Amino acid sequence: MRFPLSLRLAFAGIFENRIRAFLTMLGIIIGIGSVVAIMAIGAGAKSLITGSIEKMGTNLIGVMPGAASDSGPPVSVMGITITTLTYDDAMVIKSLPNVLGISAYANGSGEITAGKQSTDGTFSGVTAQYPFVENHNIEKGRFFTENEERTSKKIAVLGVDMKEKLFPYTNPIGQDIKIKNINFTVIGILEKKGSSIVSNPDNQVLVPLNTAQKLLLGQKHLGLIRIKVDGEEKVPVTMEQIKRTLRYRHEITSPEDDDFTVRSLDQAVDMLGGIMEGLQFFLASIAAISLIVGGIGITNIMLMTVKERTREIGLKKAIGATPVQIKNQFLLETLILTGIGGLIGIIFGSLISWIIAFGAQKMGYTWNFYISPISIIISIGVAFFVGISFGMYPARKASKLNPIDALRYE
Amino acid sequence: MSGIHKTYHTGSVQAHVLRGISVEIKKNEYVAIMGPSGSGKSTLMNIMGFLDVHDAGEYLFDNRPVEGYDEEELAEIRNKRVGFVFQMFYLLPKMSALDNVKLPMLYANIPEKEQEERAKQALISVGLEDRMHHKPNELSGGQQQRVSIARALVNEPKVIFADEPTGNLDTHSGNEVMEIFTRLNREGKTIIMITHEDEIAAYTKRKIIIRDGLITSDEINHSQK
Repeated sequence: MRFPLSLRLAFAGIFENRIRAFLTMLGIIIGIGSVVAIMAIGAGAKSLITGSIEKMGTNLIGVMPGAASDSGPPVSVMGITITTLTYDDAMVIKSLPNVLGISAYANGSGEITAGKQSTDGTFSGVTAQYPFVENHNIEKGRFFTENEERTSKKIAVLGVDMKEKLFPYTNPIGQDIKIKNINFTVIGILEKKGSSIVSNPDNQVLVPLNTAQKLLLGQKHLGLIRIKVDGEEKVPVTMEQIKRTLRYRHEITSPEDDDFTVRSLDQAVDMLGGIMEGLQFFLASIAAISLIVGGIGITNIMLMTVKERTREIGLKKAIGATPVQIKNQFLLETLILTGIGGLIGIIFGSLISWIIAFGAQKMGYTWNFYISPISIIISIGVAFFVGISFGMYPARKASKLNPIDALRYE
Repeated sequence: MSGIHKTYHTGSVQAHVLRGISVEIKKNEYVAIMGPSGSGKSTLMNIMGFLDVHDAGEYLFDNRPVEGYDEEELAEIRNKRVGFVFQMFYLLPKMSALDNVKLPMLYANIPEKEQEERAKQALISVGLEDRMHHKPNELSGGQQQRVSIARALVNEPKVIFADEPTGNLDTHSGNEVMEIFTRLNREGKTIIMITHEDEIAAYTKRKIIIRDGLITSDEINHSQK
């Protein structure tokens, strides 16, 4: 099939100077490719965060010490210690209706050693219902019982990654580890759960809550209570009950004076989603800058070639092309150039995002591969606009010259 | 045309290239314009051929004054009523001879099928029937110039302007090109060309000599080749 003359003319115009065509296209490819890739990576990261929260289950409620507005984080995140949330609070919440189980946490960090192996790590004092509440099962050995928890036994359960660090070659069950120089006996290993951006449950040491509070932390308060509710639809009611109970126990009369925060995972998902959207917007503006840089590249190249294009325009005018016909030809050339460059850019950007998504999925993360059509439309639109505005300038100038001046342009 | 003036401004330097040229060229004439370089002969031809505009004076083309034509109208005249042949050929390098000849018809919005037909006819008439699909760099200088003549002819203009059409050609190709012009003139075209060489001027019927922006001699050539 043969293309119409006007199209072949445009192609000839573009490829008359291959390096020029390539450089022009490169600007568009990089610009569009990075917009597409950044938007896709942003969407993937968002799915990673929301996915890892949803993995924990949507029928969970968290109680944290310190007050917070609905959208902001609790003050404990800022490093302020609030000591009003206690084990007794947890036990009362456990007895509320619709509550299937609770797990209370007190976290700390320090040196953890086993024989010659040593690592800095975090340890969590948790209650016996931890595996049930967190859906995190035992792979080897056993978890500790409520009785062992109450009597402050010095026993520990390891996450798989922690096990690899401390006992790379041997079976740890029955062996001793030291946390902050206190001996604990390993009684179990947890299943691999997969890490998320927020935390890595496979890289921790779990000890009975009471033991952690008394021996390791020297504190009575809790860092977190997690409550498993009988069904997602009962989450809001139960949250209200928990708030009322805690206000009563802490002698709080007005919600404004709350010294705790009750959150469902839905809220956390919304909150993080909002943060991610902001982040994505930020990344997109960086991509937009690269698009502008690409556009400046196009301008440079176009200005560089004014001379040869001016002669060509002079010839076309001399044989009867009207200014409109000359502008149309440039429009067509720009359309083809940005079209091809844009297409390669989209493929290129998608490929990068796919490789990242593939790698993240291989590593066990939840990572959606999603190419946003809006990012494609916007970036092609910008590239085209840039091409037209910068490419048309020399063409317009030349189309206004006398043909002979354009032909003789040096 | 009468009393044509043209001044070029380059920075602070002014060059008064045409200082009042008056000349009449009738239908089906065959004119050579001669003169040393810098005499203004090219400028005169460019103004006659609508590639440039004069500053002062009056130019009647086909008995109509051309002053006041707008860009669109000028483009149409360049496209349909005059044809231009350049010393440097000015062919589009990436396009075949056939496509180069089609170009003026593209701008005249002639349908693709008719373009093909007429471009072939034009190339046959200059003896390039077996070179239609060659690119300019695959053709000799004489062949390239014949392509550009075909391009000038294809919209059937009444007047053909040629700016030193043989200037870049050897004697043999130059003569071939001149024979084409002579034949075209016999077929009714008005031909106006610039040349340095008396031998080339000998093909024409009238010789105008310009010096320092004025016509110094205008005579009929009685011994046309």
